[in-house]
Amino acid sequence: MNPDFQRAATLAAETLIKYRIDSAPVSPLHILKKIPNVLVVSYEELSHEMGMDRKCVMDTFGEKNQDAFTSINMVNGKSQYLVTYNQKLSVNLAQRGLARELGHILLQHDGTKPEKVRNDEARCFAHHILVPRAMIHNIKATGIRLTTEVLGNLTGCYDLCLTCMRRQPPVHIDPELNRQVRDLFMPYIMNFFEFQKYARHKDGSALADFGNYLEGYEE
Amino acid sequence: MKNEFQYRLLKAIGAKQISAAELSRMSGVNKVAISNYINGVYIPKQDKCYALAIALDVDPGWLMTGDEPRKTRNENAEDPPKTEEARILAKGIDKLPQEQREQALSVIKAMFAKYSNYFEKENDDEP
Repeated sequence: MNPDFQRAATLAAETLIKYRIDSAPVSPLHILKKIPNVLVVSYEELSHEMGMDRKCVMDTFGEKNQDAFTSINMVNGKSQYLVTYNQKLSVNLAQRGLARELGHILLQHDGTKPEKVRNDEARCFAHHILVPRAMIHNIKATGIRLTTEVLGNLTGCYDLCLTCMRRQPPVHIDPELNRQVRDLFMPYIMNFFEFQKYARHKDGSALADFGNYLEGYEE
Repeated sequence: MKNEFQYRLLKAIGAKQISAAELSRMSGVNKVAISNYINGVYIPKQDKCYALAIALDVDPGWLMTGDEPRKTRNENAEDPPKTEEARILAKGIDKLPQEQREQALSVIKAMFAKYSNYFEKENDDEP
């Protein structure tokens, strides 16, 4: 069985439109809380409820699930989802984990597909919702170089997330869906770059270079 | 797992689908003590173990020693038809040792049971 990347990417675009997400960083937690049959709890809350040590709870679910994981309960044919996440991670890591879990839920993963297939699909969904390709096209249209710094500042996704994003297979998303996402994000992009012009450094770089910033303080 | 009792207790809690706090109320055993049993810090004495077994509707001998086959106190009662099934979609969960998997599932089942009211209220609009 092969992962359905097409469906995952399309669903990411549809989710942005459905929940009227028009700026970044996209908050998967915000979306998860709007889905009726989903409950989101932190490892902290889970351990408190169970009267167990937080570490003991985290160890129980294995080292690969330290950021977030989803459980499903089928009750009389209806699905209930419990998303557990690590509240103590940095914002961008927690955001990435939650986006992946949101993917599992919206892709209606119920454990019948092989683990690798559902993980690949959920990861594809996560990268498409956190860094919408239509938004990247908006940036390209402004003529500004697409650096990690620009993308990171715009989306709140850095290093690992962007590296993984580049490994995602190319997918075709319906042009109408792309147009709607582009329209949603256009005011945000324009606002961002207007502000960057205002804050432009004297050397002409569009964004503050942290390396240069530090050099000024070297003894 | 630090001890076999810890494993049996978690398994029974998962089957009963209650939280540690509810077990404390039902059994009269202090919540901190239950937490210590769950975390494998202590093993309860016979009287506490009996109270926990009664509250969890399992055989006290099985809970204490694990020797007896696990069964409900009312042996004549038939199991209700299964209308729910919990699964964990976490990475690598199938590769964990069986005991650990069962412990994880017990925790999850207890959480679903704890929040069953939350889901019942809002189960009309599925994704």
